[in-house]
Amino acid sequence: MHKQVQVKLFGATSIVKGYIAVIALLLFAAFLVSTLHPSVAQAQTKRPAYSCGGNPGTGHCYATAVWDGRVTGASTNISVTHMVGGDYFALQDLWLIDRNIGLPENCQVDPTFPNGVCWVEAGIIAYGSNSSKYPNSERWFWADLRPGSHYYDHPATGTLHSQDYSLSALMDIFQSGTNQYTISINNNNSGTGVTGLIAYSTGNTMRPDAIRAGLEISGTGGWQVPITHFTQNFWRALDNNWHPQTSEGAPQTPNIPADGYWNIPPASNGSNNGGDWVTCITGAGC
Amino acid sequence: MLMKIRQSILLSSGLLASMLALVVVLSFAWNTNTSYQASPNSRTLDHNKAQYQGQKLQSAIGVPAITPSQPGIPAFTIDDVKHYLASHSFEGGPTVDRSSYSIDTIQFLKAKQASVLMQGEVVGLPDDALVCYTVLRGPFILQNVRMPPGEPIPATPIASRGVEVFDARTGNLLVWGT
Repeated sequence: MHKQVQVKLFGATSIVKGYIAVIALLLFAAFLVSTLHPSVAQAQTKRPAYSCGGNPGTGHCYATAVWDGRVTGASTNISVTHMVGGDYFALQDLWLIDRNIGLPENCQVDPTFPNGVCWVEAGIIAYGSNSSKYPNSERWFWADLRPGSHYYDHPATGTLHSQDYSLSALMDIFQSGTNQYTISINNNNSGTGVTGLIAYSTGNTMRPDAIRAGLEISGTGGWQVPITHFTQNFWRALDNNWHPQTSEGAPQTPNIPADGYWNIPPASNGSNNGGDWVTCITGAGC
Repeated sequence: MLMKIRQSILLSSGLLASMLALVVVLSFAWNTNTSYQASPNSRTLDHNKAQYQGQKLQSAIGVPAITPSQPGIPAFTIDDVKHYLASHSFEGGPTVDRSSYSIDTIQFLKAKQASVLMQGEVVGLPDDALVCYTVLRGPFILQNVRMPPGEPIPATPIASRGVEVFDARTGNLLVWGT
């Protein structure tokens, strides 16, 4: 009797031991997957705080293609991706700039800096958690800082929606009158609601001599910016004819974590429509 | 015999639960990775599909802000504006000392007049449309100004005032600036 109980107990104990071993093995496998898998490991790692304008005295971070030279317009085609703006914002943008070289045009982004650059810009912005009006949303927008004036920002009606993410948005900024610039964002989203914008920067006497296209981020962290492509990079000459970019432009080092590179450099004969500039946030598949 | 059946059931249940746990962990890892995996594939996007259509564009007419409180135009009162501004900081950024700001101006006027007050800046509505023009007193740290890179401008500019213009019909914020 006593022996039979021992055998049963021994048998039961073996089964339990086996069971525990299998469980331990599976849990160990799960632990390995959860710690070694790069995306999960990244999520578990405490992200460092960056200085991209979240505090006074720190500039924003950029990853932009840079071309200098007198133009009357700029154009690029941006692949629309779902971004998260972190604490301030993440922005895929096209700037048409008057660097105000030797021309006192009185562009004031700051009264203590009365003669800075002037510009018109358009893009896709992901507002961060600190936005007072539209936190954690994505919108089209345009803005300008005209000679003799200040900075003004025009958020577009409606947020981006899921259909936008599979499309690309063609952005044009060009002089369309003596003192007028047209801003056009066309995402080819025909009939599905918010479809970019068209607007005008009037009373604008700037004489653009630079183009920037790429990523701008502001804040200390929390951004999510998938790889985004800037293709069909064109500039418009003084005779109003459009030309593809034929060079990588002026060297520019990205401010990490904003990152950018030429996936396809512009062909010198313009055959690839200005190449493919790519932007992203370091660490997110970038 | 009964004990063995119980043990077998217990063992099977345990194994099943473990397998489920493993599947959950694996699928979580997989799903977390999909957004990253999608990125390289996006390089093969057919950008030729994106041709300029020049149509079906929507003008920028602002984003919802002040809730209309009365029929007609203006659809809200000065007090509604004060209430809204008291609960929403200036979109350009916080005040330098992180305190609340004061209001210099709230007035209903034509879009054209507001444009003149902004040195000719477009409001986004017809000239005779009624808007609510507000001026806020800073100084503000302009953390939300989108600035071009590499240019000789302050890293974080400061503005003594902020301007916000609302559509008097809808309460939408049309434009903000300095």
